[in-house]
Amino acid sequence: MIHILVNDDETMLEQGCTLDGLLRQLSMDQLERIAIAVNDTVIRRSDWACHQLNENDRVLVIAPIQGG
Amino acid sequence: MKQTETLRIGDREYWSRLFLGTGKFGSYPLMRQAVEASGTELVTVALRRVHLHEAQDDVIAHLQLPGVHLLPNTSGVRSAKEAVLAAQLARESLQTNWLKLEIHPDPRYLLPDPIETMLATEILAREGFFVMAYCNADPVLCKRLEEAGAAAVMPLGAPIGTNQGLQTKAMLEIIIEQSQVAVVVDAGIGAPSHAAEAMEMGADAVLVNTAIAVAGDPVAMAEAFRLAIRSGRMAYESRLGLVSKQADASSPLTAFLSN
Repeated sequence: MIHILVNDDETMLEQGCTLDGLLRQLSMDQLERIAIAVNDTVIRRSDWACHQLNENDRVLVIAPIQGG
Repeated sequence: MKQTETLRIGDREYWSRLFLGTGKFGSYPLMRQAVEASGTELVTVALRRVHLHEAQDDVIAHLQLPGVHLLPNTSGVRSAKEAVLAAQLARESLQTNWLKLEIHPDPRYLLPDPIETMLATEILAREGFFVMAYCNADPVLCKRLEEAGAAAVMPLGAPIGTNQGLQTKAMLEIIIEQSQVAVVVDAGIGAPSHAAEAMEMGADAVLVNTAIAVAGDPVAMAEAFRLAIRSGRMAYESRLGLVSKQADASSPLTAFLSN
């Protein structure tokens, strides 16, 4: 298992888990308009299936909300 | 009905000179109705971390209206570095190069940080963003932002959400006179008359949020702003009369009863 941070929440994953796998684990795989950065680098949606996560990665998941 | 001139910013042309913020509306249906009543073609949205294990509600679904484009903002960032990451995430999330850049680390007055805003504008313009930079009403800063590649400058009338109107009027006049990019007066506009005043001065557009969203009837207020902005723009294009100290008779000054 590896430990990562997802929006500052500690999360445990299987070794070799991809971003797609993380989203499935968090039941967030149906969300259309989220965007993700890993260690402050944006990972494009087309790369989620192949981007493997590593120990201590910081994952930021954002979505649009109301705002001025 | 007489048409007013369209507004060109970046790769788009706008008929409406009212840009609308989507914050603070009591419900999504109310927000959507206000957007429709305002006639706006550009609405802002913010970005936030997704709360894990909480149901997500998709605000964008409620903003998908014909002719209405999205303008993501960087609200919540405190530095140029954070703003650049927020902009890149916004582009990925919403598939748009348009961005309202706002960097205001101070939570009390929410005043924009000019140095970080300048740095971020330089980087993001190079990356192909149409940067609309929220800034203080500082004519020198606005020119520097323009030179750095901003597609528009967004000087404030008063601090965000205060409804104080054009407290910075004298500086806004200089900014409007000097700017080669669109000037969008943002923040502090609390009444349709404030918006009309900005348009009569020659501002290219205004961005309104709080004054509409927290009104007793946000949908009617959105229409009131639409009318005021159209009226103000038409007055500007019609060229206002000069202001003078001494009277200038509107009726002939010939003697009425005797010479």
